[in-house]
Amino acid sequence: MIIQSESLNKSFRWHAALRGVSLAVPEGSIYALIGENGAGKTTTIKMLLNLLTPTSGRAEVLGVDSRRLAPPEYAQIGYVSENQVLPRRLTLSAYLGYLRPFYPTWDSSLERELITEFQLPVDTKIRDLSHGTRMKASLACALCYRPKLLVLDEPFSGLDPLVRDELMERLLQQAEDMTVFLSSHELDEIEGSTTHVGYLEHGRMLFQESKSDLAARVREVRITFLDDARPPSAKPENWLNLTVSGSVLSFVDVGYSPQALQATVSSLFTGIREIEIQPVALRSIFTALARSSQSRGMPT
Amino acid sequence: MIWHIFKKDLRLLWPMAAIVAAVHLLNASLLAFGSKFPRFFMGPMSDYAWVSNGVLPAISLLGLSILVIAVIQQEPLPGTTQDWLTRPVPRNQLLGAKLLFVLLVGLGPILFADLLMGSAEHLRAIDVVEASLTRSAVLFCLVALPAVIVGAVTRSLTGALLFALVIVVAWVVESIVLAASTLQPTLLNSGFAWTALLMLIVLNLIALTVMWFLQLRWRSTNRVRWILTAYGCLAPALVWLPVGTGFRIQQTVARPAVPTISPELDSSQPITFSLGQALMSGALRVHPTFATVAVPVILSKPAETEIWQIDHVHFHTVGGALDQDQDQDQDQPATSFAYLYPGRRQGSPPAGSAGRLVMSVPIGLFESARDRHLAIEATLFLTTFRLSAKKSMLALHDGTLDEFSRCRERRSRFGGVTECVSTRAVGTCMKTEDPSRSAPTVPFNAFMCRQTSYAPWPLPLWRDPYYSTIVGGPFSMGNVQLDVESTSAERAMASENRIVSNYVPDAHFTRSIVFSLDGAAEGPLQERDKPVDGVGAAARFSAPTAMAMDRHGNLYIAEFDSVIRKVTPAGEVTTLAGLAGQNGRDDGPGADARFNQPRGIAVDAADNVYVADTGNQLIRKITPSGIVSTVAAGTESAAAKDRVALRQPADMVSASDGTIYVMDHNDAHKAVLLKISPNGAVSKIAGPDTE
Repeated sequence: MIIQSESLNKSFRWHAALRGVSLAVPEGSIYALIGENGAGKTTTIKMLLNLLTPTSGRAEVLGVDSRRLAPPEYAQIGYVSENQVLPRRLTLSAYLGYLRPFYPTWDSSLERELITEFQLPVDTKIRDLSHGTRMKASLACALCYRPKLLVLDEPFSGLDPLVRDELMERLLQQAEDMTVFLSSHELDEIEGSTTHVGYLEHGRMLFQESKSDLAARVREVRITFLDDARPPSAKPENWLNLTVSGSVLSFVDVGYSPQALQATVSSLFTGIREIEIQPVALRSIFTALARSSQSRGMPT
Repeated sequence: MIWHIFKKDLRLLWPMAAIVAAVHLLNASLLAFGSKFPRFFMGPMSDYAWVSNGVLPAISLLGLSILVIAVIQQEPLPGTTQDWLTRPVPRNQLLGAKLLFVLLVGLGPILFADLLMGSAEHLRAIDVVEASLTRSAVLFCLVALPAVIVGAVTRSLTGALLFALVIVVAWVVESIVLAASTLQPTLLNSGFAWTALLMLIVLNLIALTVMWFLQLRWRSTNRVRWILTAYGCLAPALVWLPVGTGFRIQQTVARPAVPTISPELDSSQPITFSLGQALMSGALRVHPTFATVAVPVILSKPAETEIWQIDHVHFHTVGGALDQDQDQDQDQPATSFAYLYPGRRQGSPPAGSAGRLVMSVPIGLFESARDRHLAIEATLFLTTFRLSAKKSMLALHDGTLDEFSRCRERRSRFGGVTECVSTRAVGTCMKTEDPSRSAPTVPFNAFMCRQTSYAPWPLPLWRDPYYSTIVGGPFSMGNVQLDVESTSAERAMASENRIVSNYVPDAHFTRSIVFSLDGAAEGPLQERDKPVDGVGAAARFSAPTAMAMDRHGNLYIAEFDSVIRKVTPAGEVTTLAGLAGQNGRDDGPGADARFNQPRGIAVDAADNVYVADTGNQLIRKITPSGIVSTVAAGTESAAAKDRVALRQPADMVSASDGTIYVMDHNDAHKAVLLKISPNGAVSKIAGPDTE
């Protein structure tokens, strides 16, 4: 595991931002941390990078306690965030020149390649760059030294799809020798390329698993009854988004296995005409999870 | 890597650094070469003083602070969004780079400017280097370090200024409270003041260390902010409580024996004192040419007046074997006047009352005694001369007027005030005498100068741990002094509600006088009588200095208040010439004529009255009809070298042929007997050659 955390907690005064978040990011994976705005994604990342100190719990990054991250570790970590403040008054080439000696693994040919590919205006001061260009510059500054771990905090928000695709493509080119840990509230941005997904909700890690496992355990279920459908007297916990429409009862089963579903359905209902079971797109899984969490109300 | 980070900061901040350095250099140039600039270029010199001693130093220190804050904030510590925080930048090297920047780019130009200024003054190279380095070190500890700390807990310049403002306000409030609470002793420029400064420096270093661990290592900005605010609020107490307590303990434990003094007229009084004793009494000032020492004494006899001018003091050091060539017996009237203050009460102080003897000790003797821990014995020669309160006079400073090379007059409620500056001193001179003369050119003018700062290159910190006047302190560019001398004098005398200062009747010697700050009626000093004409008991004299009688039995009396009185045998007192309190040198009919502190008078066979117009360096003649004319004049001009100059004509007699014989005290207090022929020619009869 390149990142591992155990019950991370973070409180800001009265507000608990993270509650017992445990993460495990395998080496070589592309791990997407998904959650709504305010779920705690950025806080998690900042604690992993020792920008914030956990209130309790601990995390290890590259095998080192996150609170003890030091230059040798930072030299192997790339970090890009939409809020990142670069030295505004330096030109990009001056900034790259400034960073170069700090990284033993700096690859100058890669640097030139990235500048050409991203069409970066190296003689412009960073403060004069547009948001998209600045994100590209940020990414270039993080890729040049071929980090072992690349942490991206909402890297694509506010970018137009063209730029986004350009960045993602570039990322994937280099993805084989590094682990990517990225956060997003937009699932579409990353769905295609991720290998692992974690879902953060109100400071709690709802689940995290590899995408294939996730796809295997979530199904959309439609039960058609002979007469009008009625909601079950006791709703199983892993049934989300339960809706009743005419004779059809539909829900998302997030703990799907054929036997278990069969057993539960037969114990709850009678008069079933048909059961349809379909795999669910990642997006729908998250929509379902998000909607069900909203209907449960914000935990305090 | 330190160098690498330094270069990056320099690339970003060089315009600001260049502006700040230019301000330092401009100020140094003004201080060093300002007097050489043509007048039309600089305009009235007080404007220049205002710039070179007020605005520019403030701007340059503010510029230094802002530059330091800016370089620290290139890598802001508070917050979590800075890119550099996730870069492998070693913190130690980062701090090293910042300190290197502060030293090279922040303080380097100041050091260079100080060296330049010192060289322009033609001072010894070693002194210049020593003083410049001292000042830079003090600036580093008292200005740059706090700026580093403030920069480390803030992200923007506005934030830094607000934070600094909070601390400064807290500091000022607490200092006011401390000053009001008597916890803060009056330390003047003593070793204790030095201790306080050192404590402040140490505290700043501790604060930097705390900040370093908490902020740069662990980045607990909020905690550091609270700690620093608390530190800002408590620093004055942290400095003054131990220093003040130590001072008080030492005062109690090591209280010196108080010598007694018997104030009798025309007597000599030996008195021995140590400098530590003077320090205990809380008054010691070190000037470039002399040191003013206040020694507590007890009167063995009632003093008839409140203030005694001790005309003449003979000093030598005692208590140690002196090398022959270092035996500093000194008898320097120019700087050795002393005054006795017998405490504040109305009327004559009784025997046994405590007083204070203030003396100006020549600097050579002072340093000799200080360096070898010797006592100084002073033999005081008392005279009858008595000064009374003269409210309009304020302050003054040592030294010669040519140091105040450029002056500008302005009016104030005290009368004409002349503000003067030079490359080495800045002050306010108050012209109290002849208003028709301009300040720097005519030497024989009475000036009251209040020195606000003085910037020679005296003792650096480590050379003089006991009595150092710390120069090269942080608060004004070039002319730095932590305790302005006139202010310390005011403090020293504050308990008696007086200002001690030095009074320069002319450019050649310095003496001290005492004033009541709040008016004569409330102070211990009684207003002397004003001259009032009348018969017998109705008449009043103010300060008669000499008298002579004509062949009819009329008495002529010269008064210090610049009037000539006449007393008939019947006892009727009239004013023959002059107007009381109005100094001047106008000739003409009696009431229109003006004198300046006459001290000698004589009458010839034809009833012509001759007046030694001491303050004007003139001999005046009053005909029986009351017309005043000038018979002989003193001169300072080189062209008149072959003539004998009148310096301080005083006692005089006239021969029957109209020849006048005058005792003239020159500036070395060597008296010369002069003869003035009826045609006005001055020749010397006896006495040493003076030039």
